Amino acid sequence: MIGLRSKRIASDVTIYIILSVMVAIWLFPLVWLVLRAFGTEVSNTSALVFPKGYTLENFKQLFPGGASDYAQFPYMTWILNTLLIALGSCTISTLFVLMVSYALSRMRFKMRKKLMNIALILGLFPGFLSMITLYFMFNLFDFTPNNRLGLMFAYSLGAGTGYYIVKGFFDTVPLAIDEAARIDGATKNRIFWTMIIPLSKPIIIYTILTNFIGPWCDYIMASVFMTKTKYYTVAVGIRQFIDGLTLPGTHFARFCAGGVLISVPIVILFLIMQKFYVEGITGGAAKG
Amino acid sequence: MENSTQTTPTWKLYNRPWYAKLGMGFVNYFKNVGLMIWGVLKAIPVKLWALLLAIGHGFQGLWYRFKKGDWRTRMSYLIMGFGDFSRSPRHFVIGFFYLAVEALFVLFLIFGGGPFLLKFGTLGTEVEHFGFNAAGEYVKIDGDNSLKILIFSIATIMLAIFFIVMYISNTKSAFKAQQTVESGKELSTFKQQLNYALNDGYHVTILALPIFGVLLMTVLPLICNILVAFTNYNYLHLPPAKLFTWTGFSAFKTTFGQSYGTLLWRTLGWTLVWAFFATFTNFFFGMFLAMMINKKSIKLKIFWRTCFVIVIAVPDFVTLMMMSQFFSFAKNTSTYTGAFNHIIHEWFNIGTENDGGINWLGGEPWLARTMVIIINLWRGMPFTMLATMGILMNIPAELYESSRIDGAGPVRRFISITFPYIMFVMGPQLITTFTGNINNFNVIFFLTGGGPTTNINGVSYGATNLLITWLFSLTMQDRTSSRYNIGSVIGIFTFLITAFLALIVFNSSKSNTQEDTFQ
Repeated sequence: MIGLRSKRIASDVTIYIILSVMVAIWLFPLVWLVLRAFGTEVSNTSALVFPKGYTLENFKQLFPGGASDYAQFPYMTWILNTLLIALGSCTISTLFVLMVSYALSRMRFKMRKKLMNIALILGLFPGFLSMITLYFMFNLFDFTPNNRLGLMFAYSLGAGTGYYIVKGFFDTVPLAIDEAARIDGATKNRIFWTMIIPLSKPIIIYTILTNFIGPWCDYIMASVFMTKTKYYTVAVGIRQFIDGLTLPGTHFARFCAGGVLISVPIVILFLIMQKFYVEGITGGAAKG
Repeated sequence: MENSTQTTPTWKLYNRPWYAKLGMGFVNYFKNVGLMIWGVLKAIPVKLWALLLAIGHGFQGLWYRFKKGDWRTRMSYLIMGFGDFSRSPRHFVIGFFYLAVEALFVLFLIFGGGPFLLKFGTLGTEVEHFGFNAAGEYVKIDGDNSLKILIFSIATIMLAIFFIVMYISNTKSAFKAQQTVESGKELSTFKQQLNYALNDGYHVTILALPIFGVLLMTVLPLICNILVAFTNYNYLHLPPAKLFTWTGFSAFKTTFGQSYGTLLWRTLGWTLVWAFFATFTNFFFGMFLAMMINKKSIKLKIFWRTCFVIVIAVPDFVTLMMMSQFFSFAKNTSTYTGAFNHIIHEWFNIGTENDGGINWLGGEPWLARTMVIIINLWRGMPFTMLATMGILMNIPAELYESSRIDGAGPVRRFISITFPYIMFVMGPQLITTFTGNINNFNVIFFLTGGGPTTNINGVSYGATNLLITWLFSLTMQDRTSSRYNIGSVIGIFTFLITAFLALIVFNSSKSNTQEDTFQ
């Protein structure tokens, strides 16, 4: 028995060592990013792991009046732009997804199967393909000078096709609830808003969070739509810190500070959301 | 449902060697895919015939209702909604709704879409130019805009289809109202109609806006962009200064022809290699990591998990841009540009200061490609870990118990229980991830931007370019050298590949549910 036990301890120790090494490798770049954000070296060049001194200067430069070239890199404006776009598009997307999911889960109508197949096929096209025309469409309608609204609609109006996870959840809510309410004379509209939605709180929180995080993390669409510095979203804007990098780069520390600042809330949201994320993957597949 | 009630048919392969099972799995997989594609191809003519029949039935119904209708019903073939609003004040709202649809559509056709639709065949002939206007001033006179003509024509056609649907529904409504009155029943009140919209017809109410959104934001641009593949829309034909026009399949010929063809196959090759490695390295490493953390005797499970989850919780544009800087390189500088080169020089004395270290992401194509896959592993593995940990917790403990009684060791248990179970849940997901990786724009774009580039047959070729990033560089990156038509062809090509793979998912998930292996 002692042999078995020491064998188990040996395997545990090996696993602890492997895990520690992996955690070190995996977290190293992030730690490096945080250290750069608090470091006194402004460029990528001179940066070793630990900075020579610590400062909050890089963060100060992200706020209005913090840096002489703030007009060129208006970080807080970018955050505000993204926040507005994300709030608007999150509201529309969540509503659309819930509505489509309810209709496809609870109602049986002639076009139901066809609509689901069409949504499946549409999802197979690279989203990029329609984006080019979308950009020109907005240009034609003279959306460009103030295209935050355009970007918001571009993110959200087509959201209806992403109903899979929410529909899967609605499918698990017992039909008996609907039937009981129907006998009491409630309309389907009423059942949807006052019964199904309150019962589906976890999945609705998940939908809201994913739809809110989406615009924060999107780069490509925003980079195509936004042409002026003051309309950039944070993903597009932050790239300006390193894109025009003249060597040695003088904005790199500010990029790191901006990256840290934007990551903290999103990391917290993601940590809240990870439970639903797992359910989204495994739950959906297990049901077939 | 329960494993205990069955005679565990799944385990009849238990005693076979694992490679035999794997081999059989592959054979079945491709056999099924073949059958699936054949099934889809076979279904196309049947579906087309069904569509024709449906249209035929539609016209038949239209004619039938006209024949049997009274004058009010017949009038609504000309003035939509007439059969409703003229029959009873109860149907005012619905009748005038139809009338409004007709009026708006006719107005749009005359002032909006119609003029564009007329030019759809040529995509415009008159270029903007300077000339005298009506007042005799020398000014710039607007010409046609091919893109505008294309977009508005498609929008008009889509609206026309919507109008036809509304038109037929209008005749049906009028005929139904007529029948109701003839049979001596009361017409439905507005309140009843409203109640219908919130009850039996609620799907129409609730789906109208989302479907409109998808049509406007996804379908319309998609159709336009597919049609661009049949034009000569490129940097030489940028409207409104220059117009583009239909050129048939010539963009396809260019894309698959001499100079672009070589690039296309190479890029496709790398795209598939990338998608394969990006998917399977993440999958296997993530799985083993999850199993290590999930081992019963390991403490601090939440701590280990959170450490890895933080990596994916940080938005990928931050981590990827950071990585591109971390591994950056510049030659002929007195000091290091990239932190990684600097660190390995200080710590391990690799590289000299004068050559700037190693060009990780922009030097040798094979090195850049390897680095992209490794960084993607860093970025993507925690996703699999998270998912696998969820699955591992759901594996019934009895399976392990019974296998232990049978004398199976840990390796055996992994091969026979854990791995098949994970594959059962993650299998369909795996191919979705594979197609996702084919279109994984961010990783490539932020890390290498498609480079390192070389010149092949006069066209620049990026060694790490995926089809999707190549599409980007051909279209949006630089408008003065853009080739939208070739970009569209590549987009369609990418769609065909992902659609092929999606067929596999569809097929495999279907066969899985039929088997009910683990349910």
